[in-house]
Amino acid sequence: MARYAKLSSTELVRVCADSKDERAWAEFIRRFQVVIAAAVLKTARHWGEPSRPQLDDLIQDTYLKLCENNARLLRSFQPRHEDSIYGFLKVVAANVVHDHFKSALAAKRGAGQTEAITEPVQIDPKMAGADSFNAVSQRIQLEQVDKVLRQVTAGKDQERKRTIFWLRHRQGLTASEIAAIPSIRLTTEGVESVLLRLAVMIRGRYEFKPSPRSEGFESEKSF
Amino acid sequence: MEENHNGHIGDAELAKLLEESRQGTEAVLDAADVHPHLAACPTCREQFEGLALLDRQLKSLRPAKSALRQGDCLDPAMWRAIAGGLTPPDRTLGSIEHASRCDHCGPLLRGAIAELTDLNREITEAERKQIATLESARAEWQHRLAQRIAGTPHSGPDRESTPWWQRWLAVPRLATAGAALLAVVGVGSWVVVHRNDNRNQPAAADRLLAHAYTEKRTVELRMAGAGYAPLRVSRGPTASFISRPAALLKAEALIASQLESHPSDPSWLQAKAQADLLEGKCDAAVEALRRALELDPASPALLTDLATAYFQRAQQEDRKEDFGAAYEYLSQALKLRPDDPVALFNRAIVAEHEFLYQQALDDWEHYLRVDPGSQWSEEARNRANAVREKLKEHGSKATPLLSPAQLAAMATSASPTASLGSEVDQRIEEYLHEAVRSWLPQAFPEAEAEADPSASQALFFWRT
Repeated sequence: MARYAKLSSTELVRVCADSKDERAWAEFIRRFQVVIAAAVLKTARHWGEPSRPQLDDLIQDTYLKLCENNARLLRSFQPRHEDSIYGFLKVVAANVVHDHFKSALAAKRGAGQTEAITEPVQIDPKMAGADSFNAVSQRIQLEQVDKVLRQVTAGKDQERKRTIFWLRHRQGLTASEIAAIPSIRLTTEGVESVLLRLAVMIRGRYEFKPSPRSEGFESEKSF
Repeated sequence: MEENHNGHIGDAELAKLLEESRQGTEAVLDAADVHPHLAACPTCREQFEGLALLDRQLKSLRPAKSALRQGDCLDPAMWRAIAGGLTPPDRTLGSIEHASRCDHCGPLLRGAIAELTDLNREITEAERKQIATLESARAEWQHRLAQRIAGTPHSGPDRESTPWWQRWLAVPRLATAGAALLAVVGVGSWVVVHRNDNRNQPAAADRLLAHAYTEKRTVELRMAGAGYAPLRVSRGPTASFISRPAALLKAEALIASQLESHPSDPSWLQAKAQADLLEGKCDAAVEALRRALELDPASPALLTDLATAYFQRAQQEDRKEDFGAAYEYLSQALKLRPDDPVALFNRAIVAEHEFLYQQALDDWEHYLRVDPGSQWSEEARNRANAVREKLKEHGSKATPLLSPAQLAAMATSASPTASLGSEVDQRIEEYLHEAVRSWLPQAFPEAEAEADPSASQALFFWRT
């Protein structure tokens, strides 16, 4: 095992992805045990306080997931930097834990309900169709703001800026949450700066109409 | 306080104050309480208050609930991979753009970021202790699992703890004889290989370049002769010297020395261009390959590499027209060699970038007939499946939506067709989008005289 202990994490992952060498896997398990166990523990707590045997099972399931289908997951791993294996293992562990508890919950409730559990609370399609005037008006305003946004961001990086703007103002992500998305490639200060510039430009070009609800529009114009 | 040259609050600080106020309480804050400068400076206070008001107005437009999953929504588990930075950045940004405007995926992305933030925080002492007490923290448990994975239920003592060469060297006479033999074999091999390299140096450069490509594949398109490697992030020509594969450095030295004496040799020009491509120097690669093509105009290999150079430049410099050039050169290469796997593979990718999905799928299917079993074929198969999905999705949207007039006429006819409801139900989000985007402004225009009655009727049908 000593020769595997000298390998970098990326090299070790490559060896394990390409072989079922027991000693390589023993080193893999030894090296990443705490990372995987911590990810399993933290994720499992979202579903309640897990027992020790349950945690051991989920940790084992994570390793088995990594090597199933001829180590498909490990082979799909593309290191972007030396430490990216840790993020990868955390994500795999979290997915294993969520899948486990969703399946267990579905089994309790009866077969065929897994999908309903995976999805957040949903709007009834009929309700979506018969949206209130207020909601439709909000969507129109969103479209109008987006139109202005397109104008003020025209040119290089338009989509990135527009994405940052809507992640903040439509999805409610904070600047640090946006900066935490690796492909945004900006610091928190960078995101704050983009948001400020866009807000200043939009404020100069778009005037919000009063909320229909507060003005009593709903009773005057319903359809 | 960070100030600008006029003594007002600086942009960076203003941005930070706004961000803090966004994360604060729901109640409207008095600007003067946010920062002392805002209490003293009416200009800055007015600007801050205006921007804070815009924030609140935008917040009021947020949907209260998550929306239905759409056809182009990602699998929920994918958001964890995206938040963890495990997906290729060039494809990830499109998904994030989608999430920023999708009320189904946006909350999922936000949840995934929060989850990853929690996973990335340092473990507490209590968690560390809890993990240490687990059965899985024990060496025996780990050993058993390794055996299970390897499919070797029993194993002897850990012979590997001493490297094989140390054990072997423990026998001195054998070691001496072995070392002598190794030296003879080594020198002999070096002479053979070196002579062979000298005899065919363009091939030696090709091998080094292929090795460099596979060691660190930063180019989406294939290079002839190179083995499979997953695509890695390219940092373009600014990549540091030490991050370059050693094989690339060796190849560059060889190419530079040979081009001095063979400046018009298409093989060396091609090798130079390939090295430039791996370095991210697209303009130089285009130039070298164009020159090589002038010398050898019917070379499928040169045409294929020139296409790669244009493709890389299109991506690096956002020159869309270069995608077209890449497609054209690959088509020329395939005319000369219709089953060339590298040209087929590459043209399929270029076609995807040009949104020519049907052509891309044709090329992927052709490629998989030519090369059904290599590692490259796995990537081809995955890409072909993704293209099929896109075509399927596009196909479902190909039929135009009913116009307001058609919808109103069908809804108000004596016997509305049974299929009307199902047509709308099946594409309810598309109709909702259309209603918001077009019908509503038509039904309630600024000037009442311009109101479209069929749009009003269609909206009435929608409501019922």
